[in-house]
Amino acid sequence: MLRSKGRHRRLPLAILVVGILVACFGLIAIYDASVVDAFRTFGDKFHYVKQQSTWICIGVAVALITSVIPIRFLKDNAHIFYGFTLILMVLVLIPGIGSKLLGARRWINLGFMVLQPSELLKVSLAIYLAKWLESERDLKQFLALLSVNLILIMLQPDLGTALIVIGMAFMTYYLSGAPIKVIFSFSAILLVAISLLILLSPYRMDRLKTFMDPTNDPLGASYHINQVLYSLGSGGFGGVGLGRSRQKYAYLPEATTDSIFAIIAEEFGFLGASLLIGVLLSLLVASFKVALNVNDKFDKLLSSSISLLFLIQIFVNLSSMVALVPLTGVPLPFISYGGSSLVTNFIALGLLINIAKRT
Amino acid sequence: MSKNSGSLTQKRLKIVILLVPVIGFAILCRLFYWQIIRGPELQTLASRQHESTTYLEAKRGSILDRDGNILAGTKNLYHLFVYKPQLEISSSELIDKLIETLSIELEATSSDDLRAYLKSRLSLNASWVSLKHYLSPEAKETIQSMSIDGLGFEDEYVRFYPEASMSAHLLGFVGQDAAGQEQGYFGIEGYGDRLLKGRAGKIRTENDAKGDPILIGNYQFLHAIEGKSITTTISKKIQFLTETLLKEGLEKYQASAGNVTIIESKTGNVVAMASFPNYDPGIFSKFPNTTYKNPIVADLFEPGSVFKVLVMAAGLNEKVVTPETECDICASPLLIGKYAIKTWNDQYHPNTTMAETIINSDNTGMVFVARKLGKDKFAEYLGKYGLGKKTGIQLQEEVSGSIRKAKDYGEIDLATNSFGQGIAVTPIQMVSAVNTIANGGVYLEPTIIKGEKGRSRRVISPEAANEMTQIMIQAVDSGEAKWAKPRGLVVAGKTGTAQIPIEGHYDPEKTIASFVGFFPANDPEYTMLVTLKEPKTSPWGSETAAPLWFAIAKQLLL
Repeated sequence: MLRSKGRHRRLPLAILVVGILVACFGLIAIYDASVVDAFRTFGDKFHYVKQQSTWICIGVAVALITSVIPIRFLKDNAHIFYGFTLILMVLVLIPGIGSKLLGARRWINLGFMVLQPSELLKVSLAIYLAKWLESERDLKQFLALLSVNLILIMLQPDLGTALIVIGMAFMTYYLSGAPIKVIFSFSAILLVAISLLILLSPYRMDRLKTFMDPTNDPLGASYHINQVLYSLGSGGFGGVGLGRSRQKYAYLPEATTDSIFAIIAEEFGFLGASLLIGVLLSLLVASFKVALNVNDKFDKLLSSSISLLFLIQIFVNLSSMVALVPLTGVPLPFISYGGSSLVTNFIALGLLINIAKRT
Repeated sequence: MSKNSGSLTQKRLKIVILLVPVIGFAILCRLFYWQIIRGPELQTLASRQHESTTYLEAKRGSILDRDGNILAGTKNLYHLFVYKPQLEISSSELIDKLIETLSIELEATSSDDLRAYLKSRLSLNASWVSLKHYLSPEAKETIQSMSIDGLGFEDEYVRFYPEASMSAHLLGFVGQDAAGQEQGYFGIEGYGDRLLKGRAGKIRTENDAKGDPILIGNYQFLHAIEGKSITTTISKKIQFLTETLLKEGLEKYQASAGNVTIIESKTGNVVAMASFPNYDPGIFSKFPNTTYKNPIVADLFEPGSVFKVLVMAAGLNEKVVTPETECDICASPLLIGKYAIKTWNDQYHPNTTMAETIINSDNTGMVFVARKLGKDKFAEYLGKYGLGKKTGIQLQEEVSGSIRKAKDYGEIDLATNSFGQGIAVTPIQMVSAVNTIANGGVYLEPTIIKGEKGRSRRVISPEAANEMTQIMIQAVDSGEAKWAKPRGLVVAGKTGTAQIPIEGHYDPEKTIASFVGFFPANDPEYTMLVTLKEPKTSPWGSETAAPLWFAIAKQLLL
């Protein structure tokens, strides 16, 4: 796409427009999925939509800001941003500061907003990694850096974010030019670690069993994935139509956040869902195009890690929804309800635009 | 940054970018699989969890007697529920308001228990909560007059029997089938179940996961259709007095069981049908299930001497004997193989006439008639009298019993059958067969539903019927039972004392005492059979069943 001469001008704009369009489409989906719950809980069927709209505005504003701040400034202060985020990651673990919800301590309530530091970590780590990997790093160093992040994330715990961070860091490490045998050793370590994590946690084991056989225990462990599949199946080719989802009536868990794709697939069918996937894929292609086009290693690694951040989030979410991988709670970028995730993704988008303008 | 490292990164980036189409394609394929290939199946599963069907009970039809009096009716009660979103007062206020009325309804429950129960119901995490089933109309009125928003009532129907156990055996009862749906069992409830039950209505809605209806969901409403009432040929008055007298009779004669069947001689309409022990259909589950079936149509018994009139009438109709024919084998016990056929009192009357055979209930005389008829005719007549097949009465549990085919009759079978032993019939078969004589020789299928006429067929000639009637009048006037007969009533009848077969032989102590007959003999109105099982005061039908028969007959004429 965008192979004309003006691509250097058009690409950044295209990325921003696609991001905003997807976010607006997400707004419709959120309204749709949340209307029942919003009315019941808050007496206002637009509650979630209003919240999300605010975040989109803030997100776009932040994206415009990050697209103009000098990259050099970011690079020089990468360790400060990263260090600040790490402090937040520690703070969130302290009872009284971090609020606990459904067994996980992931949020800091600032009064006017609820902040999820792990979302911020994704982007600040991407910036820090790009700088840190400019020089060659051996596996021990890389493992040490990664462990700090993973320990903090798993103390919450938040497996979804952990997977994203591992995936992004590892692939960025690969792109930075790490020797191929190091890559293989790391892969081996990863495999062992994941197996251990699954074996040690009964609920992850259930998720895995459920993935092998979704019909097993439909009211217990596999309830969620079954409800997702019911939504997909109900959608069929053309969908049940806007606003006509039945699964959103408290059947489908996390309908506005991690499972929002299921509602979209139910209402817009295979046709609409594929169209959305197409748009998201083109966003990915555009992001990687930015990375391909830049020459500076920091720029290249940063744009790559941001593209990877999008890629992993999108693919983990969609793959979970279509049962390609065991269900993992990861928001769908730009679409799922949630301020921290949305703003973080817009920050990343802004950085991409920033780099794209420089090529 | 070395040039080398830069180009390596570029190369590796291109490899990573390949992931986009590859994973993207995999996701699309998988999406296609779930949405298109597995779509219809998943859609069904999904709608199964959204859709719910509520059944609206149809009011069950009543069972009425011939004059329209209710034998089994349906009470309209109410189901009290609360729809919480519309409730404007707190749960505790609601309980305070309801507790008094509901306490009256539930006498056995203490008001504290009730309060705790209501509290637990109201704290359920559902919008729609059922509070109380089977509320009386009075309680409904009281609660309705409080006009509390959020409360509602649903119709509920309950079978009720104004006279408790009266007519239990002919009515049957209403229980639940395997699926929990109302289902009539036995008697008219069983036979007429489809007519009585009507058709349940349906409300099909789409609900959310909590069970609340989805406002934009599909909605389908199908009215319930009330069941039709069934008018029987039973007379509640006669049924009542029959049951009263039978009960007295059972006590007086210390019989373990007994039954009375009364049919209209000229129509075959069943007027009363009583049997004990019985049960209360309103609380049937508290009775042993052995009492559920109506013994008049479901129990086979060896009729004994009451059967003689059927055989004799056949002989008269075939003209193989006349009332005056003399028996030439009646001087002594009859030896057939290793068996000896004796009379009941072991007294023998050489050259006894056929009339005397019935009057004295002479077994040897009956063997004489049966031999004159021969086994072909004998079997043919039993068939014509309707034995060995269902009479077709509209009661679910009727059985047919079975009779021998002509070719299966041995000499001893023919002999014993001639006086009603070695053959099993139901009381309804017996009374219908004897009614053939009362009805001038035409057999009428008995019926218990008003307006449904059973089929009829001529079995014996009017002359033979008349001859047989005259003999039966004499049997009553000069026979063993004469002392029990009310004055001024001309009755044609016959006593019976059948032995009860136990494990291949007859118990000498236990008998079924019976009396069958019709009256007024010359223009019969009613044909009646009384049987008493194992009476202790006397084993003989003449001293137990006959006096009861006459006691009932006397009341019928009043």
